[in-house]
Amino acid sequence: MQLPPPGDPDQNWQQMKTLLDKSMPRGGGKGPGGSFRWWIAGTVVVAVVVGTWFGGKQLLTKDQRNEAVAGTIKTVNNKTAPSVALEDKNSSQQAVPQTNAGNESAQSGKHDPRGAAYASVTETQGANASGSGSNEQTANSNAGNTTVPATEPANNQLTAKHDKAGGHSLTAGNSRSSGNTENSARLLADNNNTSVPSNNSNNNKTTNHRNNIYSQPSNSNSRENNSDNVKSDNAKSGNSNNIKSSNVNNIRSRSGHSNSGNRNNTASGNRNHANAERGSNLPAVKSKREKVNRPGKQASDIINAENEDIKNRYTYTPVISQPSQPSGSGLQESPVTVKVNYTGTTVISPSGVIQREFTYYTQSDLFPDMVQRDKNTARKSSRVSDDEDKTFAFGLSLPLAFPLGDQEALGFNSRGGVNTISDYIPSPHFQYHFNNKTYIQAGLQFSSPQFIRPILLYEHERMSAPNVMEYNSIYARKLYYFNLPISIHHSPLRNFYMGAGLQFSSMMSGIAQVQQIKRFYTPIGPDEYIMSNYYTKFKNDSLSHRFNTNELRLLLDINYYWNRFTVGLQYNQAFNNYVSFQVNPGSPYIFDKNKSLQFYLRYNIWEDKKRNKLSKNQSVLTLK
Amino acid sequence: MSTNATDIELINGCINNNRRAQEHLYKKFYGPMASICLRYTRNHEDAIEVLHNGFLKVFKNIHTYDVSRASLYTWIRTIVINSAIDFVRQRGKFHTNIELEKVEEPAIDADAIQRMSAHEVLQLVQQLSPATQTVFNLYVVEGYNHREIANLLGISEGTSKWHLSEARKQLQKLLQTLQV
Repeated sequence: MQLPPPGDPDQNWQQMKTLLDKSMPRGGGKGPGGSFRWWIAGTVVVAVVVGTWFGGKQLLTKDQRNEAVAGTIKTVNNKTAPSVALEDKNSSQQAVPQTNAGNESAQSGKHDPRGAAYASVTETQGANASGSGSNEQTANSNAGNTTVPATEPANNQLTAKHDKAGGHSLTAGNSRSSGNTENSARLLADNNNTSVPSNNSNNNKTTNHRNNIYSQPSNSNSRENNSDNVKSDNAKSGNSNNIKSSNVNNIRSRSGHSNSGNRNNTASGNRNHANAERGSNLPAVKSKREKVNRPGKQASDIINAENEDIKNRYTYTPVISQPSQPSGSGLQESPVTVKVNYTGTTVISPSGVIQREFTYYTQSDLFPDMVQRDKNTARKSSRVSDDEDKTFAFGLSLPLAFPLGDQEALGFNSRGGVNTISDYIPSPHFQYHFNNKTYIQAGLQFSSPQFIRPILLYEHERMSAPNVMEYNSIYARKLYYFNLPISIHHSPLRNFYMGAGLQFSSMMSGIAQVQQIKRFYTPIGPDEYIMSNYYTKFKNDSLSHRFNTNELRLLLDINYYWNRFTVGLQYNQAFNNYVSFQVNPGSPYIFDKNKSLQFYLRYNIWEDKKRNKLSKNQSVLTLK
Repeated sequence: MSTNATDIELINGCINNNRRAQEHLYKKFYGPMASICLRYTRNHEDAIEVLHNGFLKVFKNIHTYDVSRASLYTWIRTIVINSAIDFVRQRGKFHTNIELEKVEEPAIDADAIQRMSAHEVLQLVQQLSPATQTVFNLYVVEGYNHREIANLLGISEGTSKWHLSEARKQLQKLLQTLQV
């Protein structure tokens, strides 16, 4: 019975084309896998790009930026000095500048510590050039106790004067590359004097590493000499009125540590560079107390003294005192060999004025082999390098789903049985760690239970006898999905991760509740009897065709990682409805979206060997 | 209607989601498939909806088509009929008050059918209830037996027989009304 076709084929093709454009957009490649292939590929690409971006941001951490200087310095210190001494020095150094800063502000009212520091540095050179061997400390005192506008001209004047006095300034300036810093010793000694352990000054931007370096290489003898030099130089130079009135007091009260204390007022990092420069001259300064009492001592004498004490140049004897103790109360001594030489770099003060130009050679410049060796050592104990963080992990997850909202839990397995152990089959996961804080994870859940609210799929009513209605109804009670989650995780806190991603879910089967009810209409009222009620599996049949089998879900995750174990919560929400149909033509449409909350326990069975190089107690994933 | 080289090209084009190939395939099978859809529905709009659903399934699954198993026409026709069955199942229920073991065969004058045009017969069939219409089409036109119909529609054989009997009764009544 061939009937004339309804409508015009061309006109209907336009409708068909619209439908095709919506369901099968061109370029989507509706081959096997359908357009979801592009969804998945796009998701992976976006996740990788975002993850790489996060990883790139992590690469530029402070540690890495400071690695050229601080890392090297740290290595040197760790290699030669006991850590206890370093820590004590660092802590005390941080406290000292505050005390001095307080002095400065009290005396000058308006003071830029960094400017003062640089001024003092400049003057130090000049002082060294003069051959007095002690002017530098006087200059430091001035810098610390006078306002910047007053300090800088004074320093400049001093510098010019000393440059005229002789070429010794050049010698002194060059000698800074030796890395011997008696000033550092003074710093240390002065730090020990600190009486204000709190209120760390914001101006002190010197890192601990730098402080370590600048403070370690010193000569214990020089401390006393320096302080004495200050006194004598102040008296001699005569251009430091403020010094007499204020600094001298400081110096005397601290027995030679006042200068270093004043220096610490400023951006100690920069100033310490300068101090390091001066340190090379300070062996000349380093002398006996009687030298200090001879303010007019010639540079040649100082050089001789330097030659005599050259063997002690790289020897540091720290003097550690408690904050309440006066200076000079040594608690521990440790010899330190300084291997960082400074020859200059450009330093800009907070005011934007270039105070001084210098460049420095780090240990990596002078001893590349040693630096490489040190780096290798450091990598074993820390995760500074991000290349090591890019590792893989594979493991299993044990999920435990909870019903949400109007969802109802159901104690039947995927085959309609009562043993629900199959709902807790572990699922594999794979992780790729971009660094110690960010990783991407993909997983496979082959038969994941999805709780739903009871959905009426089929209803049939008939009058089996007069006043007797029989109802056959089928409800969907539980669904099982194949899930493919892909998520990216980031750690805002140690061991604590937050993640987001997408999950492709495909319905595999479901559990239906089949009910047969008879309703007897009596004059009293209707009486209902359940004739049969059982649960059965449905899959690839007319019931399952009522569901949208494939869907994409948003995935949110929080978890805590410890020693290969991860516990977490995962929430996912579908973007589209999994049911959207009418049971009967007259009945309303049923809509619902899938959502689920899972608690899971995850264990990384295998992790990349690079991670295993770390300490046993510290798993790779916990290193943040 | 066997599958020839042109059909193979059309199939390859459809697999590549080529709109022109899809258009050719659609227009080539539009007439017979639309007629089939019309038999299972009550109006043209429903028929076009069923047709488009069927063709959408065809285009989505054409990569699974096996030339050696069936001709393209047969394959598309099967899909369209299944789409029509799905449509009917979604729209209505297969109410069965009586499940018959034997089909009551009301006598329909064969001459009366022959005196009617195809369009008039179609109008009569379309006046049947959707479930009855579907069973009638499957049994009388497509040649399925009651067991196959029961499997296709998810009903019992008795229900299928009842629907067929009901279709004949209604047609007989309609023919008497038309005084054909």
